[in-house]
Amino acid sequence: MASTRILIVDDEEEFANTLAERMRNRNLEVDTVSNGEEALESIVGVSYDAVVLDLAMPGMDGIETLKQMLSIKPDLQVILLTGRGSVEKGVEAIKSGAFEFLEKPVKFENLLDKINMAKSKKDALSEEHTSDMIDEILRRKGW
Amino acid sequence: MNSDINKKLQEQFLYQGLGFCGAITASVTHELNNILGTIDQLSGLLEDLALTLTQGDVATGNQLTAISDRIFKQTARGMTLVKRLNTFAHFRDDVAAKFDIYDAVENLLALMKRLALLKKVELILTKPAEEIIVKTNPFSLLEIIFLAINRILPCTKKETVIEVVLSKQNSDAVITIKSMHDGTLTRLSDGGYLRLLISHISGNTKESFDDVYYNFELKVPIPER
Repeated sequence: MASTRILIVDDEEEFANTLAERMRNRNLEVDTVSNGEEALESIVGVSYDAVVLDLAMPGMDGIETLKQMLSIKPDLQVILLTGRGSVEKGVEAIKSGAFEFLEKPVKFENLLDKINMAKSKKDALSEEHTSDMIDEILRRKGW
Repeated sequence: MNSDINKKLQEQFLYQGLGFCGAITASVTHELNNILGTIDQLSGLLEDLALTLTQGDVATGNQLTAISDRIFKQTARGMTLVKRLNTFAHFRDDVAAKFDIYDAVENLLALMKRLALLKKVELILTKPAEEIIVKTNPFSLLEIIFLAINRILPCTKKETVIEVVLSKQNSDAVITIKSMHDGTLTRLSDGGYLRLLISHISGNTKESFDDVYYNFELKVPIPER
């Protein structure tokens, strides 16, 4: 079975690297980038099961990055990490299509749970698309 | 000055001053939250390593040292930030203090570093050739510098700097704030509260911009020895 693939987007590089190490210790495949622009480049070539995205980043912030990522990959499951006092932004993120938002400092086990849920949702969406494609082929062929 | 105007001024000072404190505190505590979050995860990494030990693996001294070094760097970063915030808070202690203007401004810019970083702008401070000691309300002086920078920050060209230069001109300390704006600066704002603060510290100011650059200059009298 293919292992879960995650992208972490956070300008706090030590935080991102440490999270990544802990996830790799649990057999997840993890990439890290430190800004929104690099995140957009990353998702084009790779199918991620979930993206862990920081809200407050220099330049393109988390909300803008989220919106642009979803315009490229609408089924992408994004978990936003927000600082205290940014709960309104978290709600905005959900309305913009994020899978979930969590407040920093984040509990690692809680984050893993959300990642598993995000992966399940992504897998379900993939199956749905495959099923839709098959139905369409059958319809066109008149079978 | 009649009592109604005086009361309004006091309210404005209180409200705006709290806004200044709030902005600095919010930015610094956000950064501290990031640092604590990182330390929390690094501690978790140590826990992960300890778990492998109980399963028969042996951690090397290097592995443990590497993780503890990373924790140490984050705690040092946090301690520096707390020290700076404490210095800032204590500027409220004395409303007519004598102080080295470079030390005060350097501390403020360090606390504003993250605010500027989010706009992809760097704050640079040029140390004066000689020590400049002023006697004024340090909190009001810092608030003026904060307001001037905060005002121009959204209009500053990304990936450039806001330069703060300290110098002496006759019997005045001069604080100059220069930046390249991104073309969205079309007029200077009214700056009513800013002018109020400037008069409060017996200073005077000059502000201008052209197609490329923005310039703000504040003069504060230097006391005679």
